[in-house]
Amino acid sequence: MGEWRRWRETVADQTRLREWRRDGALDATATAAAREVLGPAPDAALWRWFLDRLALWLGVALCAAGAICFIAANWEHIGKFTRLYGMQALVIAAIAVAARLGLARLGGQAALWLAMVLLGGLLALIGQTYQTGADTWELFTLWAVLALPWAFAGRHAAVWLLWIAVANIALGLWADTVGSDWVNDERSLTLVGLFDLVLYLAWSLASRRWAEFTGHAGPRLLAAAALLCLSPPAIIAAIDHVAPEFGYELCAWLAAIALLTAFELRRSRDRAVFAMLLVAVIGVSTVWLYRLATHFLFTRHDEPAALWLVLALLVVGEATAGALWLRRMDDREARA
Amino acid sequence: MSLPHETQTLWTRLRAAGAVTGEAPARNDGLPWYLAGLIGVSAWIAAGLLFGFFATLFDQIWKSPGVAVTAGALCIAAALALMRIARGREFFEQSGIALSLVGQLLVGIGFSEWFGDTAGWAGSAAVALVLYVSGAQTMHRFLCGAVFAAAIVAICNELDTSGYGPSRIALPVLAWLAFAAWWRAEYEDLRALPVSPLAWALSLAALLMAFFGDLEWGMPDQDAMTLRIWIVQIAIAVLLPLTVLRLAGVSRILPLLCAIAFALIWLRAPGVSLGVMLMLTAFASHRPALLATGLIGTGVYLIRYYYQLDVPLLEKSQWLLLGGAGLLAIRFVLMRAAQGGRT
Repeated sequence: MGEWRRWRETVADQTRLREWRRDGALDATATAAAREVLGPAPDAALWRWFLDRLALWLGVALCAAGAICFIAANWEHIGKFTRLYGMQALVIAAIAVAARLGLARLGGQAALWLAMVLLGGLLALIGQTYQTGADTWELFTLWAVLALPWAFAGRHAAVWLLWIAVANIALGLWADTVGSDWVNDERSLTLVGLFDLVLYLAWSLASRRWAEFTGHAGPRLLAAAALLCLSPPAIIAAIDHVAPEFGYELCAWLAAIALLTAFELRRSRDRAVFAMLLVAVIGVSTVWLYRLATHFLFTRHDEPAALWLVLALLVVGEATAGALWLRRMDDREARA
Repeated sequence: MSLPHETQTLWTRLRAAGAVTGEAPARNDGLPWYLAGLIGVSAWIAAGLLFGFFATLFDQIWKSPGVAVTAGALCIAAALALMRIARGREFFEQSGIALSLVGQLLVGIGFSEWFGDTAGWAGSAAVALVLYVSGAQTMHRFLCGAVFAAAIVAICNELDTSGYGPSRIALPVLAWLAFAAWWRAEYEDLRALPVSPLAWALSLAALLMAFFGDLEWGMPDQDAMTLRIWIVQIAIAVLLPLTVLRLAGVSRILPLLCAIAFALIWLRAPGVSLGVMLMLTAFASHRPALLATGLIGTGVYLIRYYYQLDVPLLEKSQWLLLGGAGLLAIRFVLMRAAQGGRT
């Protein structure tokens, strides 16, 4: 974490130099002199740290992807039991490496991450071999359940994010197979979005207590996933029916927006999450305003050109207000 | 306006070393990435709505290229005027950005009606570049860069008639342009024309092409196609050693050899080379947002790669495993070397 912070400090210094040069506060000579004072950036130690992380995580990700492709290839030259035992041996080997290195070390955590992927591969291989299906909701649920203790043990954000991805897929597949009139495609997406919203809240609360949940990456990814799942159904509810439908999807979206805003205002005030919220509000509100206007005001003829112009100005107005709000928040915090 | 503590500290340090004189300049924040995202997406939505406005108001746009080009030119002129006169006023600046995008769209429609699709897109690319130079606003420059990148993809599609899906030529062209733009951005004098918004647009377009560019690839003449695919893949693979060469210098042979080895291993997975190139560039040029983009882009590409039909699964598996094992081996060697250095 120390090197990461050092790189972020270097980033901040270099960004300030760029801004001063851009605004004319420094001339070319002063900029060169300032860079000389700050020294080579990133230095050799930072490069070593970065290449170490890149090699480890990209290496592990490529090995995991390679193993999944190998299982999917269903190579006929290897027998059924060789495949099953081979895959189990790989899972055990990854766990053994994690245990040998220790879960306090990054290498051990990466090995556990690999073991979690391989576990899914093993379950898929069983499904493929015994014709029970390699992408069923039961398989992903079992995967999520079996991997949950590892996620707790791993104590790393990447391990938790992998578990969340598996749980998301399991929930989505389950919702798709329910097959009732109530759970259609949009509603299953909404369900996944609400699940991500709950996980976002849980992650944010857990960050108070456990170090692996600190940092912005997890909450931002979860907020983005929640909004990406909740917004399209809210848009479809406006346009895909004879009349705009004020139903479950819109209520879920409104509740999510209110909850995320209130939570961020009271806690971390992360500008990136606010920007995501603003984009979602602008997108969904524009479609709804258009639909409401065409449904209730312009029912007898085509919509007038002015409607488009009003909506365009509204979008610009909303974005401007949002940008000013975020900038003021920055200013207030800089003064404090 | 008060300055953040870190800014004051940096200025004091530079002043003590004699690099700068006087007081620290007043605070003038650039455009943070989240605001850039908010403004960029909103500008595209507003541009779509404004286009609806013009299309409803003047139905001649579709029939007469002259009307489309004139309306587009007027929009662009109004946008440039708005961005210059109302500099610093967010509402008018953003209205200007949306107007500029609509103007470029209308001019593009008019050009393609007049001169055909290829020349029309080339005209759009030229207009986007002229506006990039003249419209002094970071987000406007980025969006002009995005229009330029879209025009490059469209031109490649028009020129490359050999495939059914999106052209594969577009990916190496965009990747090379992004590489050149980041290279230039690193050495640019920031008082001159900034190149990083263009580099951003080209990089994002290249990642999108890596993701979508392989759809429905296939042709009856397999031999001719195989040669073309190899040329395209080599053109992308070369970028990784070039990036390492630029960052590490000519004198360091080992990193270069490693880069060449990985470029060869990822020859049939160009998105991985592209993602690693972006991550290395991001780290060297202090751009965390680009680092995150490269990381997410590589991850998403790996998922997409699984569904790519032109490389058999077994072959994919071999190259991915070889690349992964190679990286882990390098990490092991680096760790051992570091431990050896400490003892």
